[in-house]
Amino acid sequence: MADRSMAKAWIPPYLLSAPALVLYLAMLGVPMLLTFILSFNAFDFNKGVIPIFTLDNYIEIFTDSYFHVVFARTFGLALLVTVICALIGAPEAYILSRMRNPWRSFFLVVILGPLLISVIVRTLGWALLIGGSGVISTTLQSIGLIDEPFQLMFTFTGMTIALVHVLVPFMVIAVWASLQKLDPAVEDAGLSLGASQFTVLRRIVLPQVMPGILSGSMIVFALTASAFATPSIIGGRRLKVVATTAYDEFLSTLNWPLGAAIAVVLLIANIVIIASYNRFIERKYAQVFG
Amino acid sequence: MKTNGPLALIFHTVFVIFILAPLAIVCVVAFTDKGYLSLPTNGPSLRWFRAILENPDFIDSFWISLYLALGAATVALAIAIPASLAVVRYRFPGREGLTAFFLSPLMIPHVVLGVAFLRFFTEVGLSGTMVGLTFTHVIIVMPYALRLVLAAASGLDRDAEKAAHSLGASSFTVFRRITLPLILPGVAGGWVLAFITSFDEVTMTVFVASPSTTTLPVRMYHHIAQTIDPLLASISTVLIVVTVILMVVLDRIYGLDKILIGKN
Amino acid sequence: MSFLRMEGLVKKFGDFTAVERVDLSVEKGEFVSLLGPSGCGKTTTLQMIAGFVEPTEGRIIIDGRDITDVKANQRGLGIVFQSYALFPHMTVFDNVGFGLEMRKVTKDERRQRVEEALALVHLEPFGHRFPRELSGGQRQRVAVARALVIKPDVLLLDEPLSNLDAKLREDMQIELRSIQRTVGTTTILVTHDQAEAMAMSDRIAVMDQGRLVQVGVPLEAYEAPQTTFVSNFLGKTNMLGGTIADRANGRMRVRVRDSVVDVRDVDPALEGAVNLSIRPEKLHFTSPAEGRITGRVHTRLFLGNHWLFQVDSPVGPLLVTVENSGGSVVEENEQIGLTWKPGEIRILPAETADG
Repeated sequence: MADRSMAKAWIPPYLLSAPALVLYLAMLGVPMLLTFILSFNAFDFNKGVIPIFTLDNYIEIFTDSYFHVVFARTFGLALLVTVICALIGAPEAYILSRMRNPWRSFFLVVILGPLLISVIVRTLGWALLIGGSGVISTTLQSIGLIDEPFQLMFTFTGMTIALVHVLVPFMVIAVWASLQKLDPAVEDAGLSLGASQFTVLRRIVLPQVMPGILSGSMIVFALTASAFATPSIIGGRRLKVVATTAYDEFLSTLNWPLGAAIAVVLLIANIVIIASYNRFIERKYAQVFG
Repeated sequence: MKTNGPLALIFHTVFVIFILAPLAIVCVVAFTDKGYLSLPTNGPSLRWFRAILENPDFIDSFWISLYLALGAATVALAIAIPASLAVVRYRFPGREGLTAFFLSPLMIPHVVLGVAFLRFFTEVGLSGTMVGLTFTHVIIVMPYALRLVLAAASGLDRDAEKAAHSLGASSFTVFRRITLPLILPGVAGGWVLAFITSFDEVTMTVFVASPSTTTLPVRMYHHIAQTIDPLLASISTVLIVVTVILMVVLDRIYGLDKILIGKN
Repeated sequence: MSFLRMEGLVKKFGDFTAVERVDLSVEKGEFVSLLGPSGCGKTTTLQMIAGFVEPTEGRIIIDGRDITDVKANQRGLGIVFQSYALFPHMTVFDNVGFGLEMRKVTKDERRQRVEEALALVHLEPFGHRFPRELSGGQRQRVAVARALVIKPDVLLLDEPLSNLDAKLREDMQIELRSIQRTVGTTTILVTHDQAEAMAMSDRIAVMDQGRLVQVGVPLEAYEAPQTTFVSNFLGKTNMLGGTIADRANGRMRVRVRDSVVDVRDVDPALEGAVNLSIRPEKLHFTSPAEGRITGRVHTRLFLGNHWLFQVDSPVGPLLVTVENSGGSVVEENEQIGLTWKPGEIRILPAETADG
């Protein structure tokens, strides 16, 4: 005899998720599909988008050295920002975890709160700090440490600093989450067995928070690779990244098919990197952390 | 309880300064009395805060951003609540896939979403409309709302619902009197987070915003591309203050660490 | 005609049969426990009575009315959940009043009945509190009051005491039992705790692997278990596996290891492998010469109201309990004899490996 409740249980979940599903298919599925198709269309400065099938856009991206530079800069920037975030975010999370309340909660909010403040505002702050007439430059000049204006605007270094600032909270969150799972007694156990504080950190704490550092790295890497506002404001016209390039193709040059192709390549590169990185983490840590 | 050594505290201090410095400088510069970027050397002046009121473009954009965020957060919650209950309550074919699909906008760079929505809108004739813009923001904020509602719904005591049911309550009464009040902190937290995310969004919106639907962050972005003046600093200061107030509210109703870090 | 009847109840989850043909009748006002280890199907049975799980087969009848297809919110049963399932956002008063509100009872009557219910569980002063402000035992009482205030036909208790500590649990057993006596509501208790079931119930229904294996008053089930499983599950027992060597004149000799134990032949159907069950308190120490078997005390534990011994004997290790009467008892390593009264050894059919 068929189970009556089993047969009925199919319908409600689909009804409940129907509104969201419909919206997603219409507002996410269709646009993504259209973009994918657009990336295979041709473009003419006089006629606009020509709906034929061509691989020219992708061939241009993969052969033109201009795009090579842009992609290399973007992913190099992402790598650098990720490494710096790991190097400063992980220790900060550890220090936070060793604080007492209310200090711990207070500093957690201070460090993570900026995530809720507009990226434009945060980037503006850096522009004010590191510009040629910015605070750091004028201060250093006025106390005679440097003679000429000190300019980090429109430099790779400036972009790196600003992006680290924008994204390091994500690293702190990820490492913090894995620190919460850490049994506080393991450090004492290590110390009781004669290990130094440093050895305990290196041999006992670090391996256990490594999954947190790795997943934080993934988030920071992906967000840097697709960052737009900060590279655009700090990097300016000269130091273009993939996101700003796609923006210019769409809204300045109006070569939509090429812009769409750049977006598709960025999306696929992002997904490939995240997926393979995920796989690597899973393979490496599946046994230990199940 | 372990304690941090002096080296750790120095590192911590530098880190906190690094985090707060750009925000602090924005707030300080906003009080300058000069016509250009500088520190308020002659004491604080409200000149640039008054300037905000004399710039109707920014005021208009503020209202657009506000309505947009209100609309997007509300619609997102309205569809996230039933979807979360479906995913938490039922085991059905495609459950995992559905959850991944609903969370997928987190994985897509906002630039790509911007490109996709721009293309979509020109095809279906929604360009420059507030409705279209709202739906794009629903897609973007939905994962944030969904995660909090999912967490709240999965932490829900199913026995409480069964108890209400056994005491004679109808399914609708159970939802209204038991389920909804119990997931309310998650719903409220999700709404505020969705609101803030929508209000701050710039990368995607810059593609689809028309002159009549230019949000505040987009207008600020365009303004920065032209010139950086103390007006931006004063507007940013207002935004920082409003965000901090919202953070305090959020912390009261849900716990800020829970929202930012996830469960517990 | 019994008040609550389960007729051939079956519940299958896919290929797994959680409950297999449960037939049970409960009289009006009776307190019956469904007892068994986790996974025996007792909770599923309760959920079917409550209406949260739909039976694959069978019927449930209350007071002559078939409620098998009635929705949970129409059955009018009182349920106390293991987690208590109090509504955390409502006061104690509103929790208890919820069921009455659903029944559209007027405000005045509601107030009066909630107060009565709270008085019944000795919580009159706590009406305005929220569940999180109460202790575990108090929450339990709120749950009981909430279930009883609607004057249910049947009260269902799902492991209601398992979240309480040992001392409180005993107090609550007494209190729950006396409340049930006072209001006279027909009650089904689901528990894995045999002591709790025996203490509180008029009858216990022991379940194993989805089946009812024995139903009876607690004393009878304890003294005369019908299967090795029931014998092991209710109280402590020494279970000795053996084979029937020979039988004559209403007596039977059973070979256990290298010894032979002489018992009454109660069941001619028994043959071959059997289990002998004797409870630790039914074994008595005597001198080695007078004992039916001899042995040596291996370990002795003092447990306050009684002593517990482990004795090495030719039939295997045996547990023996002796009431503490304040005097001296046998020492560890002492050679002793063990004796028992005729008929206090139960002979049970040997069960298959999974029993």
